[in-house]
Amino acid sequence: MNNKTPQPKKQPANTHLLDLSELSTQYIENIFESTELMLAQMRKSKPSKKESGSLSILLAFFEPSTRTKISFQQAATRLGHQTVDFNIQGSSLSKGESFLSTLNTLNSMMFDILVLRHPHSGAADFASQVLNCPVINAGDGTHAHPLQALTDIFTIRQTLDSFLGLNVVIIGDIIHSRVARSNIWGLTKLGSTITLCGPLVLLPEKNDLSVFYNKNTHPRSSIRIETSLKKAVKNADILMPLRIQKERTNNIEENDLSVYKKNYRITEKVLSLAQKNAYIMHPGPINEGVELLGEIAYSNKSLIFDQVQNGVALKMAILEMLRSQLKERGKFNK
Amino acid sequence: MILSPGFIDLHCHLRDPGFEHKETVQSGSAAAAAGGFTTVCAMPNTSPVIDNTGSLKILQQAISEDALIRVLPIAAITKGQQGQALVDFQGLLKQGVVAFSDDGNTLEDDHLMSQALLYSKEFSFPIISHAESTKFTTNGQMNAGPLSFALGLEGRPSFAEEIVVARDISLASHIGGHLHIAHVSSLGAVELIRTAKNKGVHVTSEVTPHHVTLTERAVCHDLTTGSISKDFIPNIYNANAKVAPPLRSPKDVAALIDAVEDETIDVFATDHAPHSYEDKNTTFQSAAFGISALETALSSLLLLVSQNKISLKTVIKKLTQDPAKILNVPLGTLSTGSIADIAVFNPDQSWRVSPESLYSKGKNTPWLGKTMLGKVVLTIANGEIVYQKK
Ligand SMILES: [Zn+2]
Repeated sequence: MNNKTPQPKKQPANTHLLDLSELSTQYIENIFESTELMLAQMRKSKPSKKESGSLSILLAFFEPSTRTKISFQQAATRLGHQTVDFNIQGSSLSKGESFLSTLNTLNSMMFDILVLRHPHSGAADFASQVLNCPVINAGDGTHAHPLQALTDIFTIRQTLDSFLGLNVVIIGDIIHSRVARSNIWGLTKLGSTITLCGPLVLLPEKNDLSVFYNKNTHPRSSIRIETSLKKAVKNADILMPLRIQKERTNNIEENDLSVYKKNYRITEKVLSLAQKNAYIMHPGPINEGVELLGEIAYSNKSLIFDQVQNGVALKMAILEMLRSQLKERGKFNK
Repeated sequence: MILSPGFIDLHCHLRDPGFEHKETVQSGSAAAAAGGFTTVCAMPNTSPVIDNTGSLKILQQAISEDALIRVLPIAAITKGQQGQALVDFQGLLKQGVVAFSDDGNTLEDDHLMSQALLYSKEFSFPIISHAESTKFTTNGQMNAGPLSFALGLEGRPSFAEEIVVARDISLASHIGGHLHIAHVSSLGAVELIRTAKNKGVHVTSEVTPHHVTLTERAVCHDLTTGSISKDFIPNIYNANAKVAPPLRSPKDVAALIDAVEDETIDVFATDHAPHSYEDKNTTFQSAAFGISALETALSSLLLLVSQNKISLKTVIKKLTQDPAKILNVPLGTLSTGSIADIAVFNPDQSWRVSPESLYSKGKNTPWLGKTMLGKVVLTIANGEIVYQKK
């Protein structure tokens, strides 16, 4: 087998979508403009304008996911692309075969795009060095989930006037959240202030955040840590409670959940402390009643269903951008 | 051109017997010779573990047949390195073991560690401690800090090293024996060792070439050690920089260099840990720990010399005379009548680290693809040429 050796990347290759850390604000803006078009078509219930060349997209999920996968299938279907749903868990391809061999096997099958979800941080980066086709990171370990973060940021853009000076509060299991990390990368490029809120056992240390500041960070952006929910939500424009990832954590014991709920659950009262026009967002799935009350999740203060719908449009936009890039470079596999 | 006593490595993994796909006595000793080493001490975490005279014989057989240079065996402290029962120190010493270590694992059992130090006191040998508290490192992939958070990798905090070093020093100060701390990596550990030495505790220590020349940023292919560049974006993963204990922060690196200069750290040891292509070419989390280091040791240390951080004299002393002292062997010297172990190197010769350039089966080094300065041109072990640069 022609095992390709992973090579360090020379430059951020926009042909892959690995994380927001490496995307320029211009590129993000382009995605959002394209997402708006896709969304408009979707809402008119029009079949999307089919561009020439349908893609063959492999959905390689090494970790269970329902939402992201269905959302991807829907995005691809609306654009007339083919998806191959490859449930690798329990397939012969993963048993006793190394990740590298699996990737090389998939590479030989000549898909146009690989959508990868993997429980290990860095899996998408590794795959991008092995595969000849673009890799879309649909979540790698606790590292990144660019699709979700782009969807979240697009939803904010759709709802509020400006990112400048916007207060976004992310609440809960930050240390295990790839969604939080990707949102931090994205929002700090756009001028927002981010507050990470939760018990110390679920938060990074203040010093851990230093590495998020670089040449691409908007001068008005900052990231702060706050253990008091009351203080955190003061002046908040967006509240983003996260699910406690029981599968990844042993920091919160079952009997601590009642304490967690007492201190960090989003209730009417908490919401009343935020800006008058504050909104609730959640990447899903929600543990109703733990981090968020159901009645708030489904109230007019919630953007959760917008996020779900935008998620489809955003994936369509990304597929369309990759398709045109592939076409330009004459890189269609068929 | 510089002529030096042949280098002595207190700490390497030759993987033989049991893991011959990673390294053998033959390939490992060839790598050592190419790196200027004429004596290396082989760690016992092989299969079988070197924890009795039977498995020791297997290793010694391989050494007598295949070794190009002197290979001195280190045996485990506990049977199977399981941390449950001590080995027969006296019996193994008689058969040529030079030190004992559960390296790869930390001996967590305080009582067993104290007993091992008593044997060390009675029979005069080093107990080499791999000091990383298991509870804090079980899932840890790299140094705990900003980078591990950004990369979503679980961290190995430096205090995991500190607390075991503190325990070991406390035991050694009360019990005696010769405690040797392997691959010191953190500022905190350095301070503990410095204090202990000042109090007269018999503790020695080593640092690897990679821990004094690289920071945790090597995980993202950034081999600079100065302050962090505004261009640095932590979004790539290099498993060749995955090692235990992990590469740490610039502060730790600076403390380690200071500790070399003030003799808190006695020697350089490579912790040469070769792995196969498959062991490293996977996700960071699945990849094995370790850096193949015998052949880049000299070049990386010369980097510190060129940066005026340590002297060439210190480099040579801590690769020759000082490790010989710890082992209590008449090596590491060019004085009249001594064994003809010699390394000749050109400190200005540049070479590119590539898989083909390395004699070791382990190509797993963060320096891969880089050009380094300083190349061994001739190695003579026990009067015979064992390496000559083509
Ligand atoms: Zn070790």
